[in-house]
Amino acid sequence: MNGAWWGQFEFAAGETRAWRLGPLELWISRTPSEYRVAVRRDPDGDLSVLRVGDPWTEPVPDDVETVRYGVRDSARRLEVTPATADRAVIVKAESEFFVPPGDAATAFISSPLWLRVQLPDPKRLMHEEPALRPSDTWFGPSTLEGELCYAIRTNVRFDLANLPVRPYRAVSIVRIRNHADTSLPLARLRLPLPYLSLHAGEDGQLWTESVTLDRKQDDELAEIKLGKTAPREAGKCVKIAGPREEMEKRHLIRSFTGLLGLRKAKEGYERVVE
Amino acid sequence: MNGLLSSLGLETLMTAEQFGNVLRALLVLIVGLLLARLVAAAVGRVVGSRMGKQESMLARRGVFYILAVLLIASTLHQLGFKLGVLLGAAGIVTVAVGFASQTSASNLISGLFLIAERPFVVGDFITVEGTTGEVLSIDLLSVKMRTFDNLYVRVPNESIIKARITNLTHFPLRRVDVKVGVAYKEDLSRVRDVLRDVADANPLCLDEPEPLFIFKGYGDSALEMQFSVWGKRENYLDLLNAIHLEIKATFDTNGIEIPFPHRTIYTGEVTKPFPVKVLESEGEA
Repeated sequence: MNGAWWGQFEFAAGETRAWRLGPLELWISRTPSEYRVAVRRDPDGDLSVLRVGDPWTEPVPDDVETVRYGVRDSARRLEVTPATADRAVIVKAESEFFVPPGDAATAFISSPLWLRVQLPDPKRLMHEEPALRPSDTWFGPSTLEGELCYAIRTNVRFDLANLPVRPYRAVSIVRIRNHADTSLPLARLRLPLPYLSLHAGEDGQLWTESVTLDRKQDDELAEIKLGKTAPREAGKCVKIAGPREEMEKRHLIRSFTGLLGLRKAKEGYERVVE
Repeated sequence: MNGLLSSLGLETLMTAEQFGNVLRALLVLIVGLLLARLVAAAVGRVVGSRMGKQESMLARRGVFYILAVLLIASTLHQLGFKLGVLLGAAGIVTVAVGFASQTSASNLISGLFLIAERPFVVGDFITVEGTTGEVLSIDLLSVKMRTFDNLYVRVPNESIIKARITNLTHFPLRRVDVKVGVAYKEDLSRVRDVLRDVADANPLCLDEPEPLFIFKGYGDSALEMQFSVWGKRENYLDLLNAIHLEIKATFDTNGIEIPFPHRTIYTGEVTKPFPVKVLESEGEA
């Protein structure tokens, strides 16, 4: 598989391995009683450079943030896996788009991944780092109630051919069906990433399961369905990480009120100037 | 028993049977109070695990007070007092004590209102009468607080009921207002774009509700404006510091001047400079 940066990695004593996923640079070093994870962010650098656990012989740069983990007896083998965002993501389209009444659209949305470092036997999470930390945002009818999410501003794509392969992002397919009599404006779209698994395509692109939104007649709510496997557009895929959280059916109905951004946060409350 | 009484010189005061009753009553009271405390703590823990700190505290106190009243009644009964007569006497005493302790009664009733109205709960951060701190407990007579510099503050319930309280942690979001001024030569729309970029770049600054830009007026030495960004309550301090540092740094990078008041002194004749006279001190002369 091209560009696979996940999997099991062997560490000799004193060895350092390096990862570079878009703006994130990460080094893991092992000594008999300690692991060191060093992180540097370089948003202005060349995002196409990819390091996939390559052995690193030079000293780790000085301008990094280091986290140390003391262990009884460090294992030779560490597992590095990708994970989806730990909160839902609000996708804000750069230009507003609509789904006409009785029509359907398929959107391709890419979202940043998290890198997880796990200890073996039994598997335990040691460190977690987003490849790109999205901005926080609030999703709810007012500042009094709602949910903290991540915000992604993107040019929502409707054509798979336009989608660049980026190893630090996962692609989700959102199928939107509008059964109502009015156009459906999609200024914001809530993507429940913690409930989605990750699948790797042959070209190294990571995919989540598809999300289907059905807007019923005269209904502000949308019924949401998550796919069970990788979407067919992804081609042949291997599942490499499960979801962060299991979705309960009951939770589903409550949590997706206002999913389509129809109950957009009221504009007025913030316009009042003391 | 008689020997013990005579050795203490108490045989004239009470009989052996009465002494036994007193001992039994004391034992019931002490053991009972200990048990009541344990039961109240257990109930508090159970309630606390399902509900909040506030409910846990109320359940613990409620259970303890009810058990304590029952124990005292039972102890008095054990000692041979007639409860009906005692309650009648207590009514008269209450009136007398009530007049004497108006402040305490007022605090007590205010405390009940505070618990019922719930303007804040244990664990909230509030500002009352100029003091800001974390609420440690809401008791019958007073509210106990811990200030940010770790001082213990007791505020009587009566003054809390009358005072204006600000609860800093009631809502999930808070707004940081940055007051900033730029020089008159600056392009305001560019300044606004730079401020928006600063907010976009900070992950703690919420994307929505959107940051707010308000032009406040033509000041004495600057174009005054307010830039308000929203953040999660828990991140308030981090956001407050980060956004001010970042705005200053970005203004410096972009060559946007933050002016401060200048004072020009002239003698009334614009073109002439100040006459300066150099004086020698006496010692040097």
